[in-house]
Parts: sequence; C-alpha cells; structure tokens
Amino acid sequence: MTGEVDLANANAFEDELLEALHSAAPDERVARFTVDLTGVSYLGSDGIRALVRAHRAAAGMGTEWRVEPSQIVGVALRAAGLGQWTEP
Amino acid sequence: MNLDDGGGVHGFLSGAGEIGRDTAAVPWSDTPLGPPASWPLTLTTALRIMLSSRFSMWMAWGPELTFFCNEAYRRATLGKKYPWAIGRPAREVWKEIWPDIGPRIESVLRTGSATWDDTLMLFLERSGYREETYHTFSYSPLLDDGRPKGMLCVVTEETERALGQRRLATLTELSTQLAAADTESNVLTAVRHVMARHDRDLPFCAVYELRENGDPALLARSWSHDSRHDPVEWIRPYLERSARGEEVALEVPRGGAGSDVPLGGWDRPPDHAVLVPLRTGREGRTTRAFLAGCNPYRPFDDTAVGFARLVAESIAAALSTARAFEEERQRREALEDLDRVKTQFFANVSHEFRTPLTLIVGPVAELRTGLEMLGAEPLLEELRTVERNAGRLSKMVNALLDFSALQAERANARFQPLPLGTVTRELAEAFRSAIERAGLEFAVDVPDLSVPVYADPDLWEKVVLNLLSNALKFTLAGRIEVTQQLRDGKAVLSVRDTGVGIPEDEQQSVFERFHRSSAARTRSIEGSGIGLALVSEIAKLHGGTISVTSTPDVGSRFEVALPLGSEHLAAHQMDSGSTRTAATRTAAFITEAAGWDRSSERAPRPDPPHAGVERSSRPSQRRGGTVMVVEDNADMRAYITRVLSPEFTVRTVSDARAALSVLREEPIDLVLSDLMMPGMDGFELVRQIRAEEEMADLPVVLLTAHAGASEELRGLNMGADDYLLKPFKADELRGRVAARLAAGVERRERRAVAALVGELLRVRAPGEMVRFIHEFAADALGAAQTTLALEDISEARDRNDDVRLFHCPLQEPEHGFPSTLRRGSAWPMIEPLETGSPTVVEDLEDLAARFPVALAQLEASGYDALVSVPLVRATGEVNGSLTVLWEEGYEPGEADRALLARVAATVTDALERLRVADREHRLFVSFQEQLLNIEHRAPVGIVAARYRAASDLLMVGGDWFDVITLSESSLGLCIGDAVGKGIAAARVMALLRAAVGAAATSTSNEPAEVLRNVDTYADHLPGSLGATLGYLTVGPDVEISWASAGHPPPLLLQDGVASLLDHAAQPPLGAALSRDVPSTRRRVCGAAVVLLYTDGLVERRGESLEAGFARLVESAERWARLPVRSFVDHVLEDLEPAGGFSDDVAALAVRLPGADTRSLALSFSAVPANVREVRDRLRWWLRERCDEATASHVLLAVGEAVSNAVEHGTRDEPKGVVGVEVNVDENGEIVAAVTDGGTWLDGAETSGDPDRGRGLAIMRALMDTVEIDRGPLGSCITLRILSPRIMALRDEHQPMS
Repeated sequence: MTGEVDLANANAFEDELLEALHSAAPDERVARFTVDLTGVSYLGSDGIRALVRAHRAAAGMGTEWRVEPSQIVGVALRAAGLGQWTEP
Repeated sequence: MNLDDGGGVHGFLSGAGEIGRDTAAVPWSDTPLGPPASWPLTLTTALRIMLSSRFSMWMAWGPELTFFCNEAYRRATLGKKYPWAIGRPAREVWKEIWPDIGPRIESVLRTGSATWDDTLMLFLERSGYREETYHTFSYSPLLDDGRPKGMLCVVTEETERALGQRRLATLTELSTQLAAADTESNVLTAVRHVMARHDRDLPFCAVYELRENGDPALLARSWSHDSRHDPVEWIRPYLERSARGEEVALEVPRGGAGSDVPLGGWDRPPDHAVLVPLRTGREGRTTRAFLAGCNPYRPFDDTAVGFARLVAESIAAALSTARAFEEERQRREALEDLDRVKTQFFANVSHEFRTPLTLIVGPVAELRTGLEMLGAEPLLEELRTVERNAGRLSKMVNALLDFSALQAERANARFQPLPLGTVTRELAEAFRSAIERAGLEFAVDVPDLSVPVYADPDLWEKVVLNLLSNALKFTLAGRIEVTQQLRDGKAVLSVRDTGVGIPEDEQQSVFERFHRSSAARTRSIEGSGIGLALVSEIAKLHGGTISVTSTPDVGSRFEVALPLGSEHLAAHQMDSGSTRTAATRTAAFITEAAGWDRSSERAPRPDPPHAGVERSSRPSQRRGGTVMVVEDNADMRAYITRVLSPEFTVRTVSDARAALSVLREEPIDLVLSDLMMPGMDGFELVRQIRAEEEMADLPVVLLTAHAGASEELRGLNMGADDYLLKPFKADELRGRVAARLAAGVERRERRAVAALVGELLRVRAPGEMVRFIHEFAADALGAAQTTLALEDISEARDRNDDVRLFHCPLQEPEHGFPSTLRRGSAWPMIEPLETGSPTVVEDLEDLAARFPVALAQLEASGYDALVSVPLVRATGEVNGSLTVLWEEGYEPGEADRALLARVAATVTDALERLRVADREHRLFVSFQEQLLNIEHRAPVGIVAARYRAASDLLMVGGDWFDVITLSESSLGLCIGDAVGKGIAAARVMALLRAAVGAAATSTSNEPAEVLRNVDTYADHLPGSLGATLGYLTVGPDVEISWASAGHPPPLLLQDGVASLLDHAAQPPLGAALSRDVPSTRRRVCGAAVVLLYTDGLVERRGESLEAGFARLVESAERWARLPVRSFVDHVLEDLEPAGGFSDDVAALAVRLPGADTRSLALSFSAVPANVREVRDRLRWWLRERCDEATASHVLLAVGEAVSNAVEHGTRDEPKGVVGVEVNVDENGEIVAAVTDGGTWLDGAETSGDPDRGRGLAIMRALMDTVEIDRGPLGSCITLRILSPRIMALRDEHQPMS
C-alpha cells in the first residue's frame, strides 16, 4: 500500500485489506498476515478504523496480525494505542 | 626457695607453690624444651623471677613459645585453662586471641623491642564462653646469647575498670540528658538517644507502658528502624509480674520470635534480658517497665542486672520528675485561673456596690436642689443628712474595695508620667471651699514640677484626697497647708495641719488598717480608719514612702514621697495614656467634708470639676446628644450641667460669642441658652445660628425669666425651637432638652434620607450605590463601614448561590472582607437573607458565638458591632442585605435599626430600578448579537469577531460589523459606529449595515465607491449624522483595499510585525461632503492578519489616541503567533483598562491565506476532495520548520481535525468554509486551529460506533493540549504541541480492537 489513507479512500482501503486477507488462504489457516505500509505517507483515523476491522477479521481466523509502518504510520498507530502491531 | 641448687630447677620449682609443682610435673622431655636441667640460664632466671613475683605474668620460650605463668596470672586470667596450659605452645593456649597477640609477640621476637598495650579489648575464652575483657600488658624479649628466644608478659586485667568506666559514662550521659528533659516525651527521647549510643552494656533497651488489657505500648526503644524486632512477643508472659513490681530476668529467644533481635554494639544478639518495672513512687500497679538486653560477652550476673536496674531507676526518676513538673504546671495554671476569677469577682462586686450608691447620691442631690428652690427647709435638713451619709457610705465602700483590690494584687495600677504639680493642685483646690467654709485657712503651694512623676492618677487622687480629708477631720481651727516639691530625687507631698495631732506612741500604727486614733477630737467620729492605710499601701505600690510628724494639740504633718523616674515600677504596668477623669469620686469626698461643718446653713455648692468636662471623641457618643449650655452665671451653669450630665454630654460656655465659635468647631446637637447675657444676648445668638445654613436644623432652647409673653414670642420668631421659664425644675429641663434633641435628630435624619434617595436615583450600579449609602450612614449613624449584599441581580442567568458584596470603604483583595459569599454561609450579612429579619451583633463576644467565621475579619478591621437589615422586594422575596458596622465603643440601639430599615427600603427601590434597566440592557444586547451574526461562505480567509459591551452602561451601543461574501475569491469586511445609544442607535446601525451590504454586492466592491453610496443613503437617514464607517475588501492575491468615513485605521499584522494602515482621513457620514479620496490599496504577505475595530478599543480618558494605537500595535505583536480567534481575544484583554471598557468595542479580524516565516493559513470549502491538498501544503510548510517527528504529530492531528471538520462541521451548512491556521511562536510551541461553521461532535456521540470516536482520542495522544470551542457561529479546535520535546504517547489511551 502506498500513498495516503484518509476519509476519502478509507473504505476502499478496508476492502482491499479484507480481500487480501481472505485470498491469502481461502481454506487453510494463515499463520501471520503482514500489512506493508512503509510507503504510506499519511494514515488518518478512518484508515486506522479500516485496519482495526481487518484485524478483527484476522483475529477471528486465528491469524497473527502485523504492520510494517513508515515513520508517520508508526506515530499514528502508537497514538491510537496500536503500537503493538508494529513490534516484531 | 633454694636458688643455687644444680638440679635446682626442679628444686626451685617444687618450692614455688602449687604452680611450681605443676610446672615441674609437665613431661618436659616430650617438649622441644627438653628436661628442665637442660634449660638455659636465661630461661630459668626468668622463670624464677616470674614465679616469685606477685604481679601477673606469663612467658613463652622456645620454638613453640612454650607457655609458663605464675600464680597471679593463673588466678586472674588463665581460669579454666590451668593446668593444661603450662608447657603448651602459647598459640594453643590463647588460640582465641592469637590474631591479636600473635603479631605482637612475633614483633617482640623479631625486633627485640617491647610492646605496650593499654586496656586492650580481648575476647578471652577462659571460662568456657567468649568474654569481653580488657588488659594492659607489655611483652618484652627474653634474650639468650643476645638473641630473643622468648617473651615475658607482664599484664594487668583492667576489665572491671573499663566496664565500670563505660557504664559510668552511660549513666552520666543519661542523667545529664534526663536532667534537661522536663516533659515525659523529652525524657523518652533522651533515653532513646543515649541508649542507642551506649549499646554495648545494654545492646537494646525499650520502655513500655503496661496496660490492663492488651499489649503494652512501646514508648521508646534504642535500636534503629532497620531492625523491626518487636520484643513484645517474648516478653508478654512476664508483663503481669512486671506490673506487680517484680523484676524479671529473661532469656532472649533464638529464632522465631527471637529472629532479628537487635545486636546493639556487638555482632551477636544478647542471650539474656531483664525487665525492670519503673516505679514512680506511687502505690498500686506499676505502669511502666524497662526492658534491656544484656551484653552477650559478659556473664549474666548481678553486675549486669544491677546496671540495667540503675539505668531503669534513672529513667523512672526522670519520668517521675517530669510528671511532677507537669502537675506543678497545671496547678499553677489552675491557680492563675482562680486568681483571675477572683479579680473579676472583685471588679463586679465593686460595680455592684457603686451603682446603688450613685443612684442614691444623684437623685438625692436633685431632690435637695429642688427643695431648695422651693425653700422647704425642714425637709431639706432631712435630705442633707441622707445625702451626707450616702456620701460617707460611698467613700467607705470605695476605700474598702480599693484596699481589697490592692490586697488581692489586682494591681491594675497603670503608671503614667503625670504633671504632678497640676494634678495635686487641682485635687487640693477642690477642697478649698469645704476647708474655708469650715473656718480654716487653706494654703496651697504646689508649683508645677519640672519633671513628670510616674504614678497612677486614680491612686494618687486617693492619696491627696484622703490626706486632705483627714486633715480637715482632725483640725478644728487654724490652717491646713499643702505643699509639694522635689527633694532629694523624690517628689514629696506634704500636708500640714494645726489639728489635734497624734500621740507619739500611735504615730507608727496610724498607718495600720482599722486603727483609729483614740484620743482624737475630730469633727466626726465616723470613719472606718482605712484611709491612711490605703495611702500607705498606695505609696508602697509606687515605690514610695509615707511618714508622719506630729505633736498633740499642735498639729501634724504627713509626707508622701515618690521616687522619680520609672525604673522602680513594674514595666507591664506602665501606661502612656491620658488622664482619666475622677469626677464622681471627688464629689463624694467634698460632700463629706462639707458635711462636717455643722455651722454651715446650706450645703456648699463647690464648682464641680466636671464643668467643661472633656468630651469623649468617640462619634458614637453623638447618639446620646451633646448639649451646649450658654449661661453667664456660674452657679446656673453648674446646676444645669449637673442636671443634664447624667443623660447628655454637656459643653458649657459663658457667653454667646464663645458659643458661636464652639458651634463652628465641635459637633453640638442642641443649644440651651440664657436670654440675658452681657455682650451678645440670646436673641442675637439665635439669629446668628439660624443664619448659617448648616445649623438650620440645630435645636435651640432659650431660658427666659418671667418677662412676659412677648419675649417668648420674640424668641420663637427668631427661630428658637422652645423656651423654658426660670426657675425651672430639673425634670422639666431634662424632658425639654430630650424632646428637642430627638426632634432635631429626626429632622436631620429625614433630610439625610431624602438626600440619599436623590442620590440613589442617579446611581447605575451597586458599587456606586454603596458609596452613597455609606456617606449617609457615616454621618447619621457614625458607621465605620457599610456593606451591600446582593444576590445575582440579573434574571437571565440561573439563580446560583453566590451573593455579591459591595463594601464602602473599598476592601483590599487580600485582607479585606470577601466580595462574594455563598448563601447560607455563616456571616452576619448573609443571615438576613435567610431569616428575613435584621441581624444585630452587639459586640465581639456576641459575634464569636454566632458568626465565628467572620470574627477574624471584623477584629482585624477594628469593628465591634453591626446591624444588618434585609432588603425585601415587593414580592416579599429577600435577596440582599444592608449592613452597617461600627468601631469599638458603640452599641447599636433601636433608633439605629429603625433608621437603617428606612434606608433599606430606599435601597430596595433603587435596586429594583437597576434590575429593570438590566433587563432592558439584556434585550438590547441579544438584539445586537443577532444583528451581528456573521456568516461567510467564500474560502478567502479565516474570520473572527468579538463584540464587547461597555461595563456599567445600561444601554446598548451603536457599534457593528459585517462580513460580506463578494465572490469565491473575495470578501468584504465592514465596521461601524453609529452615534448614540439605545434603540435609536440600534436602528441606525441596522440600516447602515444593510446599506453597506447592498452597496457592496450590487454596484462595485471598490471601498471608496461603497462608501459614497452609503453616504448618499445616510444623508437621508435621521440619526446617522456622525456615524463612522470603515470598509475593507480582501481580494485574490492577498490584496486588500480600504476606505473609511471617520473610522480608525485597520491594524495590519504581517509576519509578526504590526502596523496601522494609514490612509487619508475622511469625515464621518452625513457630512454631505464629497468623497474624492480613493481607496487605499495594499498587497500584504501571506498569512497576514487584518484587524478592524471601533474607537472604544483604543480610546481611554485622559490619554492621547496615539498612546492607544501604540498599545494596540504592541499587543498585536505579542500575540501574533496565535490563531486569529485567540489573537482577537488576547488583544482585547490587553487593551481593556482596569475597570473595563468605558465604551463599546467591536473587533473584526481576518487572517488571509498564505504562509510567512511562522504562520500558515489555509481556507477552503469543506469538501473531502480538498483535504488532501491541505495536508500537502501543511506537510510542505512543516518540513521547513520542525523535525520529522513533530511534523508527523502535527500533520496527523491537524489532518484529523480537518477531516472531522469536513465530515461533521458542515452538516448544517452544505457549503461551509473550513479554516486552518498553524503558528509557531518563539518558544517553539506550535499552535494549530481548525475552524468550521458547524458543531464539532465526538464521533462516538453521534453514531455510537466506537470506531468513530477514535479521531479525538488520537489528537489528544499526539498533541499536548486539545481545546474545542463550540460557539453559535461555529467551532474551533485548537491544538498545541511544544516542539522539539515530544512526549511519549500517553498510555491512558486504550487501543480499540
């Protein structure tokens, strides 16, 4: 994912995430799902909401959730109390 | 002992007592030393010497340092190790101290030099346990062939001495510390400290308080806090015995309850402890016990226990002493209390005695006078007798009470520096008439003294009067002489008479109480005999003496000598105050004295000293009434004074001219004047009085002789209020004066109240009101302070519990009366609001009992009494109070309350009026607020506006502003000031505003053009003449254009620098002048602020306009780096003078879009598509101004705010405008503001979806502060962060997942 995620494209972002999650393993369990946001230069609360929803879905599938952040995405996630997603 | 024997070693050994034999018995052949016969001479010689010495010695010889010792050593030191030790290696013998002594011995053998140790501590195990011992010893070498082969030790055990010294040191220090401790707690502290330091003999100690049931209380312990050991566990079984007074020896447990036992000065805990009861010498249960652990390295024997006992006894003694001290102190306090009570009793009793006496003496005097007038001689005789005896009784009571008082050491004597010459002379002169009427010569030679004499004036009076009355009593013919002079450093008063004298044998006892001269032929046989004793006591009290010289039938001389200076007097009895009057006392004396002379027909009428009495300067006395008596006849003056002075304060003058000058200087409440007087007569006096306006109300009563109706009429016509016929009765006089005084007071009050009503009509605020009320109250009531308490006067707000207080005089914020109080709080001004009745506080005691909260404040202000009346509205509701406070000395009476109630009614009316006016004001203000509602829709700039009504004015002003959307990229701002106030001005303002709007949007938006149009319109608009107007346009490319009609210039703020936009001045509207001046155009930099305002902002009375402009410029630069809304608020605050703006102020500011070095401003339509660009611009701007981390924070936070503004803020307004401002100030703080036209809601509030509330939480986590300001004109969210310090993201934010 690259670019900026704000209220304009948050829904699209969420759809993309969910699709990626489901397509990674249609029937079997996936051990871990990593979202690469190193190229994202802005992540607003709407984008975070999308991530949270996707994370919920992943958790429901028993998949571990991880995010690779850019500098600003890291700040945003920590501000939202979701810093643990970025830890190895 | 045989020394020469060849196989002699054996020989002398056998002869050296038991030890010799035991030494011999050692199997020497098995030792390196071999058989004694082979021993070298040195060895045997040394042995011989040692064994024959009675000093304690031991020696070691040979490679093994084989051990030998003598009897003395064996007994003292070797102990159980004998006889095993003999012949053993020394190292084995003293294994336990070898680390100590080994090196010493080794050095002796090596160097050949002796060692010396004084009182060395060694832990010997000679009795089967490790023992603390002290030895003084020397090791010296024993040489064989010139080389050290052995060592001789001479040793003395010092253990007892050393331990004894140590214990003594403990006891000494303990007793020193305890001696200084005078309370129990000090004792315990001393114990703690001392025993903590002396922790070898008693490694731990504690003092317990034993209780009947339950655990003992630990009062003190000597071990430090890092050992938490609590001995109570293992001493519990023994406490009962201790309480019975038994000493108990205990074993200290190990492990379990004995773990962590304090070690004190050692490396292991004690094995034994002793519990010693602390007896305090009383019967019954012992309540305290002393626990001490004993030195583990000493035997637990009587010495050890004895020492613990000694310590315990010291402590017990100290506690006992401390308690005795305490009890003593309490006893002393109780005694002092008792003494105080006694003194109080005396004071009360004396008052009780004197009052009835006064009431006998006074009326009787009047009766007598009255009867004299009527010439009823027989009745008079009776009455005179009564009077005389009442006087006598009075004098005796006085003397008795004074004497008792002196005896009881009430000693309220207050010594003052007195001009004793004057004082004595006046006192003596008061006796003159009595003495002379008795047919005696009276010589008074009392010159002024060159130095003051320190004495109590009342007491000195007693001295003089007693001596004189005695002289009079005992002198039937001849003369009495009074002299006073300085002699030998003393002031000596001498009273000589040619009286009956005192026999020599009685001369000393004459000063004893109750002594009466037996031989006396006196004028009277009464007299309690107290007088001279009293004089003697008084003299002594002053450090002086009294003496008498007398020859029977010739005369006597009494002398009282007082030392000069004041060093001999008690410092606490010194007083520098002024003299007090002693009128009543003197009158009693004189009356008595006069009565002794039976030959006189009429009772003498001496000039009482209280003619022309000093009037107290307390204003409160005015309520009693001050009467000025104008009368040339001295007797008449005196009589009138006597009649009136019980009730009124009397001032006498002997002629009319003097009367007029007194009237001008002193406050007089009534004039009582004779008609026939030399010089100016009574008529003229009245005329002159009435001629002066201030004295128009002064009651005047004339005394006329029976001269006919015409005289009275004339007097009344001249302006007198009343007249009295001579001769008149006392009660007639009193009654007339009282009535006229009351009437005069009434008149004055009515006039004052009317004046007050007039003042209050003009008042516009409660603060002003209280000032007028206080002027009135100070004058009419002698008030020291007035307080008006009001509940919230406006009806618009919800009723709260605060009551506002207005005081006059004004109160200091820190030390004065509070300016608000809660309803229901216990202050006297608040009580009437609850009760609906007046509150009267008569003195500080009363206050302390009912309103203790207020006591401190009233005391500090010097107030003593107050009356507070409720303010009751027509509806019956009480919502305020009016309080008047007085200084000490005044007791508010019925008349005061009544007056105050009248004033309260007036005040209520005035307040009602204010309330109505306030309501009107509110209407106008809300009307104006509606009118000044601004909206703008073009994203041309960020607008902020404020309107401030002037403080304390009840009418709405004519200031206004407007924002007009001209196009997508341009904006018009106008500001104006219609002339006048009230609804008329509001109308003009509304019309002008509309006119500008119409002109701007229809014809041209060129400011000068707009102005011309409006001017034309205004020519026909009544009331618009003189209105000022300014109009500014903001166009694309940050170009501004301005024109004004008489309005102050806008302020420009560009990149932190403020200036005024100068332009050619033009006249206000309606001047019908042509307007040729073009608009002023200017290009400003990005993010500039333009501020329009009305003149109320910069104008201040007494100050030039330039100063106001300068202040504005300075303030603008100070707040340059803030969002425009905050900027306007701060500038208004800065420019507001202390009492508030005196004129209305309108301020309208716009921040133009763009960027400068420290500010960024963006304005855009609230559509989601714009958000991205805004972020980009922000990102770019931030990149150059702060570090990446800060920039991320700001970008994310502002991004959220913008996002939200677009989403929610424009719900009510489909095409609203969002403004973003970011400023960096010089401290590195970044302040960002996002404004919109809607209501900013927490996402969670609307949809209940927790995901939506995230935005605000994220902003709070990113920024230092987040403030949301929701107003009717839109919301503004302000974010602040201090860079480069970025705090770690807060933990309190919970992740929502």
